[in-house]
Amino acid sequence: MRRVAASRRTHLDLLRRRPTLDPVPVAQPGQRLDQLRALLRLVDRGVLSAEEFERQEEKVYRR
Amino acid sequence: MATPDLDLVEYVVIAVPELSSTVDVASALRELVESSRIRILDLVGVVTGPDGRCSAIEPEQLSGLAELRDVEGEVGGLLSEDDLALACSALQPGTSALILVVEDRWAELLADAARSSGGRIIGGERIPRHRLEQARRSRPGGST
Repeated sequence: MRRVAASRRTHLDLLRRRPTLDPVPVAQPGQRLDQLRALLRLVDRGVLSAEEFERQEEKVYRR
Repeated sequence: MATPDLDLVEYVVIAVPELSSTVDVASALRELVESSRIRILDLVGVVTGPDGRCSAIEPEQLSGLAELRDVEGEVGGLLSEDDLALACSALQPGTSALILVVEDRWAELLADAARSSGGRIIGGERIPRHRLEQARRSRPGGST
C-alpha cells in the first residue's frame, strides 16, 4: 500500500459522528474455546443436558 | 490508483484482541483486494488505554499487517486525527481495533445500475449485531 501523507494532522474530518459499535467485548484468544470445553465437560459428567448445552453454547457465541 | 467510486466508500471498525493478532485479517483483506471486491483507501490501527485514551499506530508499524505491504491501496490520506479520536471514543477502554476506509467494489454493479436509472446510492449504515439479535428475538417464534 502506498503512503499518501506522512501526517493525519491537517486532513479534513470525514466522520460526522461516533460509530455505532457492538458492545460485545472481543473474546481473548482461546477464551471461547475454554468456555465450550468446560461446558462439554459438564455434559460428559451428566450435569448439563444436550439442550442446555446448546443454550449455553449460543450464549458463549453471543458474548 | 484509479479514482474510487465515491458512492461506494465506507469505513469499517474491526475490533481485535490485540494489534499483533491481525494476520488472518490481513490475509482476508489481501484476498478481497486481489479479487477486486474492495479497495483499501486508508487503514490504521488504534488502541485505547484503560483511561480510554487513544493511540494510533500506522500499518507500517504493525507486523500483523505485513501481508498487506505490497497490496494495491493507500494509507494515511483520508482519516484525520480527529476522525480517529471520534472512532476511538466509541471503543471500550483497553480495546484494539483496525479502522479501514474501503471502496466497496463488489457493489459497483449496483451503483452503476442506480446511476443509469437516474439515481444514486446515497447512504447506508451497518446495523449493530445486538440490534439484529433483539429484532430477531422479538419476532413471533423467537430467534428464527
